[in-house]
Amino acid sequence: MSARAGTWGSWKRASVLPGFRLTLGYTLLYLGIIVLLPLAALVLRPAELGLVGFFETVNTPRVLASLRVSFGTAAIAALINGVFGLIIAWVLVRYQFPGKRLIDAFVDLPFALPTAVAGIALTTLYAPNGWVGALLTPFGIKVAFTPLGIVIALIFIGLPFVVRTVQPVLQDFDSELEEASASLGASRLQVFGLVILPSIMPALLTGVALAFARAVGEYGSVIFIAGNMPMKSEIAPLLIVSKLEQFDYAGAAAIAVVMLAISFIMLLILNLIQRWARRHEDSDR
Amino acid sequence: MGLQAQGIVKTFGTFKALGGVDLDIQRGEFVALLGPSGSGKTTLLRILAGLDAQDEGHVLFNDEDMSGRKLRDRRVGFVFQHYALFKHMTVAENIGFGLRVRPSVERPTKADIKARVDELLRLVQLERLGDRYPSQLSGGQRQRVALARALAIEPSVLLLDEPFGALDAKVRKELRRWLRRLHESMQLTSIFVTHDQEEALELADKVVIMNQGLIEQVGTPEEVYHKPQTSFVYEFLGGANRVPCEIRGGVVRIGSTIIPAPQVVDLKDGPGTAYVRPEEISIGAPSGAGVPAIVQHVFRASPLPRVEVQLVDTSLALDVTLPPDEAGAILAKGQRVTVNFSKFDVLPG
Repeated sequence: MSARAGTWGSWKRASVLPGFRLTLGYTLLYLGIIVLLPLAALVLRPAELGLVGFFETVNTPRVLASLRVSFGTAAIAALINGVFGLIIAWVLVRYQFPGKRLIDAFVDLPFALPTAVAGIALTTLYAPNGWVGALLTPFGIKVAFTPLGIVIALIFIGLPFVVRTVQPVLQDFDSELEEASASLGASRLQVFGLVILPSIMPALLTGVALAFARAVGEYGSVIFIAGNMPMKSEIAPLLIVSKLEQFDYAGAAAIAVVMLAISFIMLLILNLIQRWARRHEDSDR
Repeated sequence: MGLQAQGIVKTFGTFKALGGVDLDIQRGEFVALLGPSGSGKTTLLRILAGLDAQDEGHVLFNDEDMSGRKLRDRRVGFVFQHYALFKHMTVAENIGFGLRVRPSVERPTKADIKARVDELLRLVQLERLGDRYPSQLSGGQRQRVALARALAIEPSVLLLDEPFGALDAKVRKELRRWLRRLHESMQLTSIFVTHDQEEALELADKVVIMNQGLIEQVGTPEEVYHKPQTSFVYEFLGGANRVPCEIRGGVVRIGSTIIPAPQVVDLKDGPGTAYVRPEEISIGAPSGAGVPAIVQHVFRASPLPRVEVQLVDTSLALDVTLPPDEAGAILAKGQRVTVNFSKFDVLPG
């Protein structure tokens, strides 16, 4: 495929199904209205502040701390979900046991539950006088109203992303590859680390990226458990909402633009890693 | 390395895949496991390799019982039908895999591994493709990578599951010859599974014919082709015609015609089945001696003309191949002829 060619005709490949122009046109229009238009409005809004005003709004200790909390907890939660989501997907694909379908259905619950409900439930559980919280307090571990609480809420809402992206890929994994590596002398750990993991890595990265993106934007479940102490457990989305409540629309949009930029860059990096992880596929085209 | 299977039984659910198989393979032999699909040949190969565990019986390598031994301790080179290459590794990484995963005390140095991989790449004639990924190779090239990868661990025995099954006819022939030379030059002990009789007879020193989870016959290609011992082998090899007949007092009778038996028939009186290969039948004039028949079809688009005739008495159809110089040209559909059997074997029942 030559990208240099100027006409439509040489861009597209011959295909039995027509409709390249129609579907591309639809895609551009749809993305324009649904995604780009609101984002453009968002980016334009802080322009009223001017460049200096923009930096003054964003470059305050409280805003920077909230960004650190938001992205830090989201990254930690996504990584933890990457590990445990993989284990859950593994168990659901590899083993047969009673109640498997029920457990499989449980995985989707964080999707279905209103996030505020999840937040309230987690807070009751992990508060110093809650069931779990009361057990942890004697050891000096505080979960609710700390960044640790935020991480737990984000793990809860992000879990299905990893499980559901890894599961089908693991299902399709050719067991002959395992047999081949074992017959060549690989230990179980080597079979997993050198053969299985690289094959499911692209899917795992997708799952982690989705869980991360979801966690950065999460609001409902976090505000209940976070305690929202400025500089400590206050997330950026909450700061945006409080600015909105003070009718500081431009200031809210300024923080949002920074979040957007950071998220975009991180997702882009993940995408590049992912492309590298599948470099062996179709590399001859 | 000598290899023995003793009384191997394997069932999958209610299906008996192997019903007590004994097999003795000498060091340096090239053995074909031949049979139709569902005959248990692949199951037997996988049990020899240790990929599956038998329900009963023993597998011995050099008189040492391998039952319960881990796959990695058996040192078998296994080549899968669909190659099972690691697609995220280059060709060279695939071939070196078995060396890289060795425990650190036994592992060769990086330079040694590279030298060994280069040597194997030369052996399988893929010198310049070491940096490619499997997705960039053709089927025949992938098969050779799979073979090189299995040979890298210096296996005590090389096991191949339908090694040429997924290749086109021309590549298959080349690869077959090449594998035969490789087996001889490396002094391997090799066992391969196939459902293609031509492949088994051409390539192997010893052919093991399997049917319904049991071994029907073991022998050299000449033995199994020329001296089949069971009705299954007659029909499976060379497409012999089955002709129901009567045996009475050492005389074979097909329909109302007594046919002279080329060998002594020392069977009890009663019904029997004569097995006769297409090339062992000759066609003569209707007035001559032999079993009367009518020509049904003549196929000339093959190296040897093939004729389908129907016996007048029993309305049984027989396949006949004629030498090219014989009267194949003058035969026409509906013509009355007689058929004679230059060689046939009779089994009871």
